[in-house]
Amino acid sequence: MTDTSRRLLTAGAILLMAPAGAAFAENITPDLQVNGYATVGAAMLSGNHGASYPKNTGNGAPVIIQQPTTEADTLGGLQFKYRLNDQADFVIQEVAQSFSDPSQQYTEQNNYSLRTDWLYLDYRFNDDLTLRGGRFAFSTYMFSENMKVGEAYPWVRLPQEVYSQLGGLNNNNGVELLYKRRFGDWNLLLQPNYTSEQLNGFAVNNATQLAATLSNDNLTLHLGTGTSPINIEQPALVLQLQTASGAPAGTPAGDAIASSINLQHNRAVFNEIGFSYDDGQWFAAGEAVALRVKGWFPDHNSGYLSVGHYVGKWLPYVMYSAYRTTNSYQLNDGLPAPIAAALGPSQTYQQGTTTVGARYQFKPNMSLKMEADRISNFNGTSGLFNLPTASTELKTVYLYSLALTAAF
Amino acid sequence: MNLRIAAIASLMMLAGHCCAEMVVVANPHVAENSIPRSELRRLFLGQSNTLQSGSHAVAIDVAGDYRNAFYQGVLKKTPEQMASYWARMIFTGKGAPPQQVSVKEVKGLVANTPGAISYLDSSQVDSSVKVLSVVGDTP
Repeated sequence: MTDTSRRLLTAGAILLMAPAGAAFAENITPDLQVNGYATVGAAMLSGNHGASYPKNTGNGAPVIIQQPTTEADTLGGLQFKYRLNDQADFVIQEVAQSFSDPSQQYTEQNNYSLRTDWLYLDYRFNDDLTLRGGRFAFSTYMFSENMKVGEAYPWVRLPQEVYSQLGGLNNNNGVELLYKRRFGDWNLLLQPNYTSEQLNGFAVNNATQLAATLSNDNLTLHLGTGTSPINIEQPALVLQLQTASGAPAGTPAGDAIASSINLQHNRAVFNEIGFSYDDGQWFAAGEAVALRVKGWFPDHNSGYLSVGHYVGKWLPYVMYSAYRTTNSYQLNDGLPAPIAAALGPSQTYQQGTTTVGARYQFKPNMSLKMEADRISNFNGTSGLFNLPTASTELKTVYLYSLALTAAF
Repeated sequence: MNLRIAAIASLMMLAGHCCAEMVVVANPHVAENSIPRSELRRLFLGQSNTLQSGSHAVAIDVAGDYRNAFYQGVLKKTPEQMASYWARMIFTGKGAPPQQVSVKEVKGLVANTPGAISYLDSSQVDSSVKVLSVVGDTP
């Protein structure tokens, strides 16, 4: 049996555990509740450019290439919730998905493994206030807590312009408060948290974040903000630049290069505003995100807007999403002139994606999704693609995707 | 009797081929005789577990067509919308759907669970459960 067949059978087995039209939550015992989700997906890029998508941020996310692959979107998760007493629950969520070697970012790797995404304790002071401690989902963007749950949104995958550039920040360790308050027909949820996470090549430690959700029957409004000291080390790039400039470490010029490229104890600030609407006839959602990092790392703005209309069990939709760095030309200020010239606007990225797709919910908790993306507006940059050579130029790239999702 | 007729009338539009006269029922010790539609919606969406009187409430779902008819008639939510809603709630640890039982089990469970609220066909109502009229915004 090939790896692809084994993978599809495993995800299919999880999908089959979602019975038709059934309630969520299988109670194994009165105190143990089990839920699960799965996506089986396939995607491919058009063209002969040799690029892969999305841009490697060092977090091991598998890429989509110019032949049909399944690993980018295929995954399965199981969540166990154990009721310790009337106030406390213990939650663990295990996820099986493929993780890629960033050095092999132009090939399909099928490197599936099981990892613990969540491991936390919830303590309810009362119906309105809960304290959470342990490892839990990054909550600052509107769909960031549901990134892997395909049934939580209509698209094959979340807009990559917003959600692929978190550097792998899907989960973090720390403490979080969940505070609920009702105002007439409106429900307010505030989620302040204090977290840390070590990623590949950089750390986001001692981050403070706040997500606020205001919702009524059909409309949800979301605000997210966060700030974190950020430590990014790029020893290979520093050594390359020091060597090229003839300014080794320990010399004033060499140390200036190191301090400009390596970001130690600088600060990242991210802000998000979003909305979603669903009245059973129309669906709409949108977000705008701004990331600002002090130092040699590009700031960016990104966002998307999606609209769909229900036709029976079908939800056809369109979406436009965009990503643009905002300060790349200023990043090299302060570097030695030859270095600045050599780097050029090396961290300028831009792209826009027009998406046409449809979801068919053939059972309430199972969907078939299909999408076609037209990715363009690169403006001479690599957009959010990994390019095999410096001379590779992208004009318009099409991405075709198919996915089967389920939850129980 | 008048209250029961009102309860039936207010829920007649919930009728599908499964449930000609669906009513909201509660444990007989629940103090309320009526429940606002908005409060019923909050209970079954996991946004609240208390009634206006402050007493604890336990929402209980009924499997199959009963559930779909109740959600579309009272909560104005299709089964597909509810599935997406609970997918977001469950996998963010922010809520869990009500316990779901069969048509045969629901009356006994409501009768024996303090604060229980559910729904069933009016022909199945007896003295073991209490009928609540649904008041508030019209469907």
